[in-house]
Amino acid sequence: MTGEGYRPTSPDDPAASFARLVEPELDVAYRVATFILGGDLLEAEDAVNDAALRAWQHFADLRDPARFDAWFSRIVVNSCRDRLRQHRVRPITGSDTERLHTPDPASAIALSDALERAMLALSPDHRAVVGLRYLADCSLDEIAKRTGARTGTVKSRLHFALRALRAAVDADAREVTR
Amino acid sequence: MSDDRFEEAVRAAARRIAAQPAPDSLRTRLALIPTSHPHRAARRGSFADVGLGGAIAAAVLVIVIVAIVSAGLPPLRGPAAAASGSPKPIPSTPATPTETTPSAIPSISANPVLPDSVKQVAVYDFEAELMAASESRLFGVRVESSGGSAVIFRIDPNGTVTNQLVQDPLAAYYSSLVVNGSSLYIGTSVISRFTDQADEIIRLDSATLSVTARKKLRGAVIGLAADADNVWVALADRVLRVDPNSLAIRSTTAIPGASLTLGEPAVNSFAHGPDGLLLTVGAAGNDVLYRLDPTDLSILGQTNLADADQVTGLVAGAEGAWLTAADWVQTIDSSGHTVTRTATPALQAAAADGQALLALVYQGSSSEVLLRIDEAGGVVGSTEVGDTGGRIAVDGDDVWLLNGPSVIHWKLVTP
Repeated sequence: MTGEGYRPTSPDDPAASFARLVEPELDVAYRVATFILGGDLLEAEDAVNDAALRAWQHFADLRDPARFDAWFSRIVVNSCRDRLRQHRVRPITGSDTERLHTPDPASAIALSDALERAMLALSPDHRAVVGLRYLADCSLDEIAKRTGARTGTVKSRLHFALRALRAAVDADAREVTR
Repeated sequence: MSDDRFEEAVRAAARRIAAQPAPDSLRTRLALIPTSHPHRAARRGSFADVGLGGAIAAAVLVIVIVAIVSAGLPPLRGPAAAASGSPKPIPSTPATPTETTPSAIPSISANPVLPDSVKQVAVYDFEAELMAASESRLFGVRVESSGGSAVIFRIDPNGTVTNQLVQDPLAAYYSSLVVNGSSLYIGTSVISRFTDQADEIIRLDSATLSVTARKKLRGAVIGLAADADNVWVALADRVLRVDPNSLAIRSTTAIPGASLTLGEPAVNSFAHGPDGLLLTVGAAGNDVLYRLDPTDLSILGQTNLADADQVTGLVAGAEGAWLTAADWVQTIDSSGHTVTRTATPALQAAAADGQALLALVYQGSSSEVLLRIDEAGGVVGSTEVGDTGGRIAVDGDDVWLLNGPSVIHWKLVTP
């Protein structure tokens, strides 16, 4: 993989293989990153970009290309965690809705929905599990592989997240009827 | 609302938050990754930062994209296809790990029928997000859904449960728990998106379960360890030794290659073993195992890990240390090298048990099996323990596992 003037010219070339593997993963990776990062599209783009760079740097370590999706997804999740841990970025709420959903005004209205607000208040680990479950349609075992957590932990996080979301929705409903 | 309808509502809400597919601008950046120097690109964050070099690079990029297309492969899409570029050297692949993968991994399925590893003692209706055990007592933390408080609880050997509600704006960020007999220590992992508060280590009295000291830290707590005289705190880039009472920092050491900087390798697991402090540093499957002196925090040794992309953490006790991965565990010898690997398919959690290891493995249908693995790597006990939620705490012959909203107390079966 070393050399000046490198060209990916065959399916065996690492660059071509990488391109072929990463392309189908981009949309889901971007959506999951957007969700974990609380709806911040710019942060999500940077997170997926960082993840792809890391994946390329370590592409030679990937022994089984069939596992690329889980491997890449795990790097994306870690990239999102890194950004949340190391950046002092503000939450996407209220006045940010225009930036978040400019193409679809209806979504800005929906953002005020109690469920969405409750999702944005979940911890990143819980959001990662919810995002992989409901955006990427991953099984619990797949989520475990993509987050580095154990399946039992994933089950626990999903349980706690859904309970918190339901509690938030119920509380909101009580406020409305009061 | 039924569970199914609620889940559909959750799915719809998640899709509203993340409604947009990957933008062309992302594909533009990614299209250039294979032809640019990854290390430089990683530092700069995107091809857009490459500057004038990109003007030359853009021309040859067309050639690269054409080459991909002519090879019948799907190129990365986006405006980059119309840009230009100059081929950059592809960097060397990372150094080959020095650790060797054992050629033969003992298989659980190869074992005959195993004796039970544990027997059930009692069930407590208590959920816990963090658990730690000491002197036959279990300590747990349940963060309240509001996120502004947590219930700290203790289960004594006679079965008495003691609770204490702790009001703490950092409660939602509690991430680590360790106990050294007289005190509990909680570490936080603050999400700066939601709070401006710094991370902390918090000391609680193990008798009253009330907070007795707090110390602000410069980063998230990756792991904690404690004995009677010291508490060790692993941050993303360093290890601290703090006073167990005042939490004053006694010594600190930066870990080579570990950084708080975005995208750089960081400490990702930490444990106190019989032959020193152990931690792993790395990113994207390129991890190094370090062994540190517990007193002066000097580095005693380091080992590049094989199969690092599968590694999930470290487990250690007074008599043994293990590296854990998605489907195996591996003993760590006194010099910090990984030795015997044992297959533990779908490993959920593990805890040290003297020289042995207790490993929870998922066997499907919401059920887990608790394996007891001896110091030679052999599986010597096995008990189905139900749906544990991946939490385990062990002290002596006491084992605590979660089971839905309950904590179940088990006793080890003496072989």
